[in-house]
Amino acid sequence: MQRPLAPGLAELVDEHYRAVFGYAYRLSGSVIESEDLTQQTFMLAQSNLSQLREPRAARGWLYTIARNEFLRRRPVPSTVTLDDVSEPSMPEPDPGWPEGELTSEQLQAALNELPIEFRVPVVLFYYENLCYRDIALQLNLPLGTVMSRLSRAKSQLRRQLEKHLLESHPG
Amino acid sequence: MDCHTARQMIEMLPRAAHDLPSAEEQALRDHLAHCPPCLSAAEEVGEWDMSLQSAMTSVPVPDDLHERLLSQLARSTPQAGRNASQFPDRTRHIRRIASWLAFCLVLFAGSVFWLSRAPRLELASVENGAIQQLRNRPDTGLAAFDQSFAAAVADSKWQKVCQSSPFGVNVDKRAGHDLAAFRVNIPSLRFRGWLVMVPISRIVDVPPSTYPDAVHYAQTAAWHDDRFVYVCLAEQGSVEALIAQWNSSAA
Ligand SMILES: [Zn+2]
Repeated sequence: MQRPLAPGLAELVDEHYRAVFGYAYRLSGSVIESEDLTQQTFMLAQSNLSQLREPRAARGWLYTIARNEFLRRRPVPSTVTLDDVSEPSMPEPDPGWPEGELTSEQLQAALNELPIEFRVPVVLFYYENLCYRDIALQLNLPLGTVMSRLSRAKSQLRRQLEKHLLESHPG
Repeated sequence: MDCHTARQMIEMLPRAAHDLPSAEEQALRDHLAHCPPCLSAAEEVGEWDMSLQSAMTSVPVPDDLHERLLSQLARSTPQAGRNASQFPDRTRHIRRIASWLAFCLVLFAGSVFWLSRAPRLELASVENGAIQQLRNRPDTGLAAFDQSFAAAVADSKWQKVCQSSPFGVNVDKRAGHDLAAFRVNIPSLRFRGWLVMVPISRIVDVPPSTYPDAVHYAQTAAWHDDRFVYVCLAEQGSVEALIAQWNSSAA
């Protein structure tokens, strides 16, 4: 049965559903799971709407709900390993950024190869646009851990993307 | 500053520059002013960051998602809207009897459900409620637990680290507390946070584990025993480190 929505909920959906879906997609890499996460996020928002006191904070609040829900569904192993992601070292002489636009799919393919512990801070940094300190607060991690995970994740992402771009634009 | 250190710091540019202690930021700026190869590396990292950010935020959204979301939410709205229906006159007394019977049934069911059990909660709303209402809030702003259930932690390890009087958290917006929250403070392990408990019958999706080995990204762990579902929430330190420490000292 269709019922009237809680006051303010339809506006919250109108304004933020695209952003929440995109966020969920970058985290999960699956359209189906992102739709489910988006729906679950707004359901939880609906039952906790009174907690949102500052409308300007709505998007960050929804991102937090979506991220908690995403992480809740995926217990992370207690030891974090990223064997093939090394500490950044002195770069090779730079071949230059390969020709061609980076597409949404290429980026997602590279993101999917990152373990969750590394993918999540990358999404918070580039998608949610948070600084290192806020990422550390949100994920309840020491700042140094966030810096090192982001640095290693960025290096791997870059290597993956350069590989993809060179494959699609040889020469 | 040498080129190696500069390149490591450049990896964090451009938005992270203000996260660096200002002396380091200044040292990096001085180095870049005098080292063209590092400057060009910094510029390139800046371009890559922008291109990554723009690709990151352009996600195609399914056309009908908006409509499906609204209709799904309307189906799950907690308060039902009332539709006045029109009955023909001759069925009015039947309708009255039916209403009376329905009223008695609702009264009976209501008394059973309202008096014996509050609505069940999803684990996510427990975790979100606890995070929103407890994390990094001063204890002085919290209410003492109203003893709506007998909150007794069974595990002796947790008993030792929980402060004696729990605080109460309301999640379902009905009167009374739904969660009992014990402040946990273990200076030797540099851990500070919360142990939250709720009767197992209140939770729809009870976490499968009976031991807090399922840790969600170091911030929360959820598990159950035969009476309660527990959620541990870290404010300082990580739940995974705490549990690893306990595991290693038990071994
Ligand atoms: Zn240099």
